Amino acid sequence: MTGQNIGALVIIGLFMLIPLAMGAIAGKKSLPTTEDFFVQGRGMGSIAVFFTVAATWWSAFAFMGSNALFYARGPLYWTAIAWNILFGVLYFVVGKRVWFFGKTNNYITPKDFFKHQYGSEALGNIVAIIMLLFTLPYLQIQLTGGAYLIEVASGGLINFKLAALMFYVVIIIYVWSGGLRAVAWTDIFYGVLLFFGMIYGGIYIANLLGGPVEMFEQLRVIKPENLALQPNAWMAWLAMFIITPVGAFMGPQLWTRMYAVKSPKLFNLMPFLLGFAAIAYIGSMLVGNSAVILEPTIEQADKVLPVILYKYAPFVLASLIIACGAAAAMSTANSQIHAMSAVYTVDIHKAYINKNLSERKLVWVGRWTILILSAIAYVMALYVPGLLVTIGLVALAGTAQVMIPTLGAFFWRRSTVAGATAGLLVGIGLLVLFTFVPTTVPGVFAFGGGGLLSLICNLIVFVVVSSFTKPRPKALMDELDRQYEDFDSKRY
Amino acid sequence: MSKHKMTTKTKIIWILLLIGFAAMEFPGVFFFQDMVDPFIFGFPFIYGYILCWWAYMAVILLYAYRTDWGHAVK
Repeated sequence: MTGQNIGALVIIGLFMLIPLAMGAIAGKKSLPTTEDFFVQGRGMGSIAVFFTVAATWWSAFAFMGSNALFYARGPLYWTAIAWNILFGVLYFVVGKRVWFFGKTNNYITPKDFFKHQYGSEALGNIVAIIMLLFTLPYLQIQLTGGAYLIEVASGGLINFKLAALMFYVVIIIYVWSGGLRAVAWTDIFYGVLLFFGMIYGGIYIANLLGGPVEMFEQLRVIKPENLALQPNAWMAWLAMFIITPVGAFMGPQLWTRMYAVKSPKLFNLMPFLLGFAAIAYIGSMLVGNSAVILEPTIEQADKVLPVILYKYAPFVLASLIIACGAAAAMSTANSQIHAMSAVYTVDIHKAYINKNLSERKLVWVGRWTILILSAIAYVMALYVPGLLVTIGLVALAGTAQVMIPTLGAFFWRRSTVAGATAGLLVGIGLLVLFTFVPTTVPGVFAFGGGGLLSLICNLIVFVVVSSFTKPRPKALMDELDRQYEDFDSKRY
Repeated sequence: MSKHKMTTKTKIIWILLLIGFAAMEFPGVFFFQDMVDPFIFGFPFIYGYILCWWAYMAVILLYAYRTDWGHAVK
């Protein structure tokens, strides 16, 4: 290991220690209750909400996966500009309603929402299981992404297994300490870092080739097919536009960030803020395309960013930008582990294993759950291969299925428990089939649209079964109508 | 279910947003798939085209916020 490798690791290490200190301070402000540990007592301020949503939403998938896709498949990832805006619009339309009903009925987890809105414990359990199963591979790609960065920064001396383990330990320490408050505080730090790191990294690398215009002119000669969408890319373009924002939005970590909001006015501004932040993708677009000229033979496309930076940028600058990448992975992983812990602790442990645990002991169950779930993700990072974006899209297509019964609860009186359950089971069943036996994906959907097809089938089954089964009880609908009158009258 | 009626201004905001989403997602993949020229803002066509619509959407979303999504009342 050279002096530069040691310097790089010290810089990345320092960036990981700052959040640890923030977590410790936040821990001192925390109360030993599940509501404080999991949704910060529903009192999170607007700045914290924006940064924790943005940093949770922008992950290793965005920071490293985007570079890899621009490098390997040209403009395909550019559909992210539109999906970021769609994510913001979803936060306004669905998020505000989830927040209102969560506040009115004291929901803490997604299961609470479905159990109440549909009057069905079983449907709530299905949602909880989907959340746990499909958030794990998304957590896995954060550990994998973070490990790639440390591995390259150390010049290969710290191997992938050890790098992933280091990443895992740091996350555990500070999620353990302070609950959602610690996660949100560190996300403000990470969010700022992430935004500027992405843009500056791209501009710096493109300028090595004479600036963006000159770089693209060189690319036109060297690899012109990287400048336009490749044949049959349209299905993946459309599928990613739908699946990525819907799947990320339905992840348990985003439900937490809907419940925890203090002021409903923030929901009106979030579409603009999240849509505007999408401009940071110009950075990864420039890095991915520049890399085609600078290093056309990188075998693992996910390593494009660290490889290019350490080869062509001063090592201090490279390390700072790589620390931003670690921040992207870290800020999503901490939120996912925290939210999955809430799902297990409240929905499964408290409901079925020990109903009489004190609030303080439940928080401890939550902490041990954090340890175990992230250990599973660590093992998956070691043994489940694939590009970050590929694994991420399967995970997102799983949680995206939950959007159908969520919209049904808000906008369609005829939504039934049977319809929601049948739709979810068909959607998840098809997704699993398409993932493990890709040859079964029919027609045009075979070009990256398996997840989208499973979501469409979920919707069709939901509508058809709901139309022919017993509607939700009148007493429940009357109660929800009264709450909706309150929602309308306050013009949130 | 909500019984609230959308104002005309709210409907216009939603129509403008839907136009933006459709313009970003469909023409780029069905009509301009092979286009590299003309470069827009120094980027190949597909990048510049989407950036133009991104700016359009940012303006609409800022207007939506400023008018409380069409519900602001003087």
